This record gives sequence, structure tokens and C-alpha cells, in this order.
Amino acid sequence: MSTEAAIGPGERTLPGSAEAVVVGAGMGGLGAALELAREGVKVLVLEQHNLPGGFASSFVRGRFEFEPSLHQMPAPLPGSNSVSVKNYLLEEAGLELEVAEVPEAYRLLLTDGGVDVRIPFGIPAVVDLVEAQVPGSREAVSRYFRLCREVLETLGYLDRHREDLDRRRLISEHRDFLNTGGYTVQQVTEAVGVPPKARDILYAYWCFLGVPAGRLSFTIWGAMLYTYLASGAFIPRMRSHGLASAMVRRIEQLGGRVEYNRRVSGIVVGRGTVREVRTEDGQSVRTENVVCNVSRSRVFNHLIEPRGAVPRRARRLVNARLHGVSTFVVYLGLNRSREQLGLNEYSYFISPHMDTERIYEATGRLEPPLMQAAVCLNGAVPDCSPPGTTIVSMTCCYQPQVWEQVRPRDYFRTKGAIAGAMIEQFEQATGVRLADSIEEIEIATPVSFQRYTGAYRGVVYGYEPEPWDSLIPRALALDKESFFEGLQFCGGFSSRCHGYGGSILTGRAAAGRTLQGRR
Amino acid sequence: MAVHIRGKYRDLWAFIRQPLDRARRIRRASADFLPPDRLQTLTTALHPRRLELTVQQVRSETPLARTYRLVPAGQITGQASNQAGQSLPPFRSGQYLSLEFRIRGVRVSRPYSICCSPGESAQGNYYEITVAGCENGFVAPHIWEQWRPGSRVYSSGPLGQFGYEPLRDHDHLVFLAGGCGITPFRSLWRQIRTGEPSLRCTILYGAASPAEFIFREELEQLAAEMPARFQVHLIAEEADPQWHGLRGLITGKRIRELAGEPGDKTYMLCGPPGMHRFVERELAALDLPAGSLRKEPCGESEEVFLSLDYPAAARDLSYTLLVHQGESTRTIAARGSETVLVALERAGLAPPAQCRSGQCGYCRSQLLAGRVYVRPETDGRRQADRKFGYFHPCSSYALSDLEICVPVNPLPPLPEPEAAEGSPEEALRSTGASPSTEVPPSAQAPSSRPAGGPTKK
Repeated sequence: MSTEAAIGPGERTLPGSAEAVVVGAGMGGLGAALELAREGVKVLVLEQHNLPGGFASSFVRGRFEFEPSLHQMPAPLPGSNSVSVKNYLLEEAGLELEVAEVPEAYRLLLTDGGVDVRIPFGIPAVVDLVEAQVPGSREAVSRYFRLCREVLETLGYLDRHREDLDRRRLISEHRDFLNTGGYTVQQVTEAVGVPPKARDILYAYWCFLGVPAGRLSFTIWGAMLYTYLASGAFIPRMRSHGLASAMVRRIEQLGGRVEYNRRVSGIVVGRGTVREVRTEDGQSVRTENVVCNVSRSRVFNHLIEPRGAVPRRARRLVNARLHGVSTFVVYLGLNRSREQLGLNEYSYFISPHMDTERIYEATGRLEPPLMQAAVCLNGAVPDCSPPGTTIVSMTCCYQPQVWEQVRPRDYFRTKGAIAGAMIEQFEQATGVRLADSIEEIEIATPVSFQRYTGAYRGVVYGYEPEPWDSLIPRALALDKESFFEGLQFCGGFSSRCHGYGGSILTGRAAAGRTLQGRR
Repeated sequence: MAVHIRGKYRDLWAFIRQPLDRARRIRRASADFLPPDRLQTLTTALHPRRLELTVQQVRSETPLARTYRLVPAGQITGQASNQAGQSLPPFRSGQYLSLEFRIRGVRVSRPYSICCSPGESAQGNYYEITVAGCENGFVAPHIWEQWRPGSRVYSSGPLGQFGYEPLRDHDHLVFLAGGCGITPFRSLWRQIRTGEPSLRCTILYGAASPAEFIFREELEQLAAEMPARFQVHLIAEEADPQWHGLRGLITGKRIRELAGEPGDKTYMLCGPPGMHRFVERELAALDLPAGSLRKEPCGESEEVFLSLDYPAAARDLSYTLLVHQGESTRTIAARGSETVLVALERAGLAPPAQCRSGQCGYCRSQLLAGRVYVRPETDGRRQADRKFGYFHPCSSYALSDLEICVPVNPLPPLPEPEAAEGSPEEALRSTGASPSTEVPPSAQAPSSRPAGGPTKK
């Protein structure tokens, strides 16, 4: 049309330079951009997908809008001054975010052992409930939770005293933290004397970390378990896309900018310093500060230019680490209300038993999982779907090599078969019939997650936190593991392991380091 | 009172040891670069961002419809540098391809349902789409004029959610097809015939005139061969002395008469927007159980002004759009009767687009100022997007001047077309189709009949 008038350069052009570039608009990247923007930095976020959030997203099918990945985020711990993501987002950063409370910790169904318990939030209530299930467990379970609280509080102390850490005080006042920090969950749980049946009840959340108790660092486990059980949990009302969108809105209000459909193909370095970020379509942005919401695996193997500039130690670093699990999710839009269906809880953990070693081992095979974590979204957000309908999702884990072996022509059949088995497992465990109420169904595999987020090998859970690669060893090595001046990392593969809250906080921390090192 | 796991000193040592252990593991690890991401190979094979295809064969189905067989031409562009080989991605019956075009300097996309079955596609490594030349449009005439064996075609991988899903749907499927909307059903019945022996299909297919029934012979043969599993009812809208079959429209009464009582059936609807509107209204009277009607949204409606809440005055107005994209800001014109997406494409901005019916969200853009009309039946926006002012240009119409921010198209521009050789007529002759039965697209009047209309599906 003749009225068209072009002003400025071609529409594909990016700004020639930026004070800071964030690669990836996942929770870590948005967390970093938010903090940089709050500090007045003109930040440019480059996202390969057409939506912000990474795993924090949503999708619409018919009259349902599904939550793709989030089960819960921890609420602030009452009476504690440790970092709370919720307070940070709502109060400090001033996000326009509506949240809903998660009503209970979980309902656990262990079908081989006949266990069916509903775990409430609040430590005393949990201790009482476990005592009722496993008489005589009270003392050990209480001791266990005190230990977990000590871990959480020490992590908060370390966070606050990153700069002025008093080692003597750490040793004298946070002894339990140190005493357990070198061990696995299994070692500590046994040493504290938690009876096996009580342990099975408390282990349900392990599937949020995806490493069996015999290898999982107690530090991260204890902190997570205590945070959830003591504080309760919340979710964004409008799915996690509501959270991602609120973060983007705030970043933009503060002068930052998010560009979608911009896949970064290279981070150019020179003399050990970040120089430039390049996108797949040939654009480049000069910058001295890059925050990567991308795994070190991808950055050091595929993004740093020239490739020869990647130090051998960086390559050893990613080779030494273990890639965590990916996930498989069945999403159901049901045409009956949760009352009609009889779904009284928000969160369900279902497994034949709680032998985390065997459950994990099964995640290495292309077959229906032993354990699933299901969510009835209406349990926390009653009006998340139209009146008379319900949203249920069922999640399980797979080790990254499992789906690599699927042939394209078997893909649809394979995912349909696993989804069908998971629905059946849910129905049999809960006695709730879903199959004849399914109005919408979607199935996400590791392939789906990689398709939309670009996650390396489809990994959702970052690097596995065994004790040697848990929070403290990662934090101690933080300064030595970006290898380039001006390069920082955040997100699920970085120092706090995966999870929405942790990722946002690593973004904030990466922004802090960027500000400190800014030239 | 401290807790001890293995003893005072051993515990402390266990803690101190971890960072040392980590450093040791890193020192001992291989310094090789990681092998290629093997999951990415599968992801790319299933969901390539762009397929480069060649027209292998053109078949004339009716005077108004041609089927094109597309085979891999070259590189399949994925998400990373590794290539997926040359096998076409598998798909589910009912899915579509978003084809990319450059026509008179304008870059546009169009969704076309795949009309061959997944089985035959896998076996022969091809896709088939059927394009009705009756479209009073931009793209279909281009295809009819330009595509011949050897033509280069660019496409997305298979997309969309329309189709049969065993975990959700009943065993008795009722296909409600109008005009060119028959195409996804062809993929379905060809797959069901051999691959889903437990399914039964009742097919109601409406077209403006008997000559416009695409796949008529195939349907009649299907019904004759497997009468217990496939009931086929062709319904012609216009009177025709040669036609002795059913006449009129696909009404609720007719659906009930021919397919039986609802309750244990899944209804699948695909046709032009006018037909969709009509059939959906008719189905309301049948009181179908929630979720038993599956719809394939049918591209942009050229009849937005038929929507009840559309402000009629906007139809003939023209608006100014201030468009931010990357570093550029442009002013373009948009008519009230066209989608914002079409206005963007016409201005040469190459916005991303796939489903073109409000559902997939691929064109999601930010509305910074102004008002748009979104047809309620094609409003696939996320809740937070409504709250924060995002919209889908493919299903939105300007109601005022707008200021919008549009993402760039993630796909690079199409390569320059090679010089065309031979005429379409020659091409048709070379595949045995008869050009004599052909009606030039330009001779077609725009159609607003329930069973005519745009090509998508």
C-alpha cells in the first residue's frame, strides 16, 4: 500500500550495542533482566521462542489453558529472614502478579504398601500425621525436621554473609549444617533414625529433585523439604505464563527490552572477555556483559566463538557433571467438576513404593513410570477452567538418554501408550475415573520441552545435585566457572539447581555479579 | 547438641571434602567437546522449523481442486546445526503444514491440511495437500499458476491438534465437512480404513454443487467397500438436474437423521467460516456433550462483519498502524475488514504466522495503543496475554489506529525463486491430469456460500 513509510533500519535489526545482554528469557534470564533493569541497566533479553518464561508458560486447548510445568513455589517462611522469592517478586520488584495458595503439601499413594496419606502444610501437623501413621516416629521425625531447618537457615546465613563470612561462627553456630553437608539424603535419614515407613512418607518430594536418595545431597533436600512443609506453597493464578508476563512487563517498565524469536548462535569472546552476542539470523550486538540462562553444556560446546577460546577446564567441567532428568507430562481438560470427579487434593504423588533407587532406575527405560506427580489445578485455582470442568496434569521423569532412542515413526505411539498407562495408574490409585471425562488431552515429552525451550538434551532438572555438586561446592566455585570476564550464568543449570524460585534467585545473583564487574 | 552422622571429625571432613572431590572430578574429566545433542536430532526430525520440498506430482481432483504431492527437496532446517536426514517428519491425521510463499514481493504463509495418511506418507516419504482454486484469494491462484513438478516449496513441519485421539474420542466419528474442508478427513479415513479397525465413521460432506465434491469417487468406493464402517452422505447445496443425491445444507436435523443420537460419538467439523458458523448453530440444538465437537478453525474469515458484536461501521474504515519490529518503526495502513496480520504481510513485514485462526499464538504481538476486535470463536489468547495487552494479529481486526510491537519472523527470508520453466498446463499434462476440465481461478466469483470459500482445510 502506498501509505507505508519506513523509518529507520530493517525490521530484523537489533540494537548495535547493549549495556547487558541476557540470553534466554527463562526464569533465570528474566530474574537477571529484572534485577539489572531495577538497577537502571538498559538490558536486552534475547529469547529463541515466541514466548517468555522457558518452562514457565501456558498453552490453550479448546476452553482450557494448561500449566506446562509448575507444581508449586515455596511461600515465605514465617519468622525467617531467609530469601523469599515471593516477597522479592511481589514486594521488592513490584510485579503485577496474582497468586493462589496451594492447599496441602501432597497426598501420597503407595499402592504396594497400601499407604494413602494427605500431608498438610506446617511442621507440627506433619509430625502429628506421621506419628499417627507410624507410631513412635515422633522424636526422630522432629529431629529430622530440626536438621532440615538448620540447613535452610544456614543457607540463608551464607546468602546474607557472602562477603563477610565468619568461618569460626559458621563452625560453631551452624554445626549441623556442616555435619550433614557431605552426605546423601539416605545417609542422613538413616543416621537420624527415621523409621522406614515414616521415611517413605517424607520422601515424596524427592521426585522434584530427580536424584535417588542414595546419591542426592542432603543439603538441597533438607532445605527444599523444610521450605515447602513449613512455609506452604503458591502458584501464579494465570499459570506460570502469568508470572513470566508480569516479569516481562516490569522489565519493560524499567527500560529493559525483550526480543522474541531471536536465537543466539554465538557469544564472541576476545582476550578472555565477552565482546559480542550473535543471533542465528546474522545480527550482532556489542556488549561487555552477558548473562546466560543457558546451560554451560551448551554455552561451552556450541556458543562461545571462537571455539578454541573455550579453556580445557571449561570442557572438563561440563563433562564431569551429570545431566539431570527430563519430564513427560499428560495434560487433561476434563468435562466434570472436581467435586463430581472426587478430586479433593491439589497435589498427588503416586508410586507402588518409595524405593527411590528403583524408581529412578525405571526412569532410564522407555516404559511407563513407576512414580508420577499429579496436580489438579482447580484445587488451588478453582476457576482456572470453566465451571463444571477440571484440569489435571500428570508428570513423570525420564533420564535424558531414554527419548534419544525413539525413532520418529514410533514417537506418537510411544507417547500415547505411556500417557494411557499414567492415566490408568492415577485412576487405579485414587479410584477416580477420568477416562470418560476427557475433553482435551495434550502430551508433552522431553522432545516437546526441548522444542519450545531449547533445553540441552531436553533436561529440565539441570545438573544432578550429588553432594560433590550440591549448593555449597557450586557456590564456592562460582567465581571460577564462567571463564570469561563479563559472562555470568543463571537458571536451572546454575548454582541453585533447578526450580522456578532457585532460577529466579540465580538470575538476581548473576545480575549482582554483572553490576559488580561492570566496566 | 549437634547431630552426628558418622562421627565428629568424619562429618566435618565429609563436608570439607566435597569441593575438593568436585575439583578432582573436574580435573579427571575428559576435555573433549561434548558429542552432538542426540535428542536434538529427534526433536529436529519431528519438529523442523522449515522443510524444503519439491512438487513431485499434480493431480486434478475436480475442475476446482488439485492435489499436490510434495517430497523432500533438500535441507531440513532444524533448531541446531545438525541435520535430521531426509525423512519427512511423521504426523497425525488432521494436522496441517504452514506453507511459506513470496508472492509479488510479499511474504505470506498459508495453512494446508495434509490429505494423505500418515502410513502412506511414511512409506512413500511424501505429503499431499489439496488446493482449491476457487479461492478469491492471493495464495491459491499463485499455487495453481506457479506450482508444477519440480517447483520448490517451503513449509513448516506438521502442526495442529485436529484429529482423532484414542484417549479422548469415541469410536464412532462423525465427519462434518464443507467444501475444501474435506481435506483433513481424507487423511483420517485413509488411516482409519487400514490402521484403526475398531472405528466407525459417518461422513457428511456438503458442497455448493455436485461438481465441487472433492474425492467423490474415493468416498463412494469407501462406502461401497466397507459399508459397516463408513457411511458417506454427499449433500449438494444447489439444484442440479444431474444430481439425485441429498440436497441442501448440513442441518442439525440431518446430522441426527444420518449419524444417530449424540452421546457416544465424536463430531469433527471442518469447512469454510460460513459453513462453520451455520453448522455450529445447528449443532447447538442437538445439545452435544461438552467436548464431543472437534473443530478445525478455518483461517481468516472474510466475513468478520457477520459476527454479532462486530461494530459494523469499522468494516469500511481504514486505520493507521504504527508497527515496531526489531529496531524499525513503520507506519502502515489497515482496513477494518482485514486482519492485522494481513495488513502486516501486505506491508512486507513478514510477521510470523502459522494457524492463521487465532489458536496457535505463533503471531502473538503486543498491543501498545488502540483497540482491536477479536472474533470470540477464534480467540485463543492466554489469560495473562489478555491482561498484559498481547493479541494474535491473525484473528484481530483494527477498530482504531494502533500502535503494536510485532516479533520478527524466526525463519530467514525465502531464497529467490528460480526461473520458472514450462507452463502449468504442461505440468498437468505430464502427470496425466486433464487441463481441459480446468476453470481458470480468475473466472471464479468470490463465494460467501456456506460450502464454498477459502481453501484452508
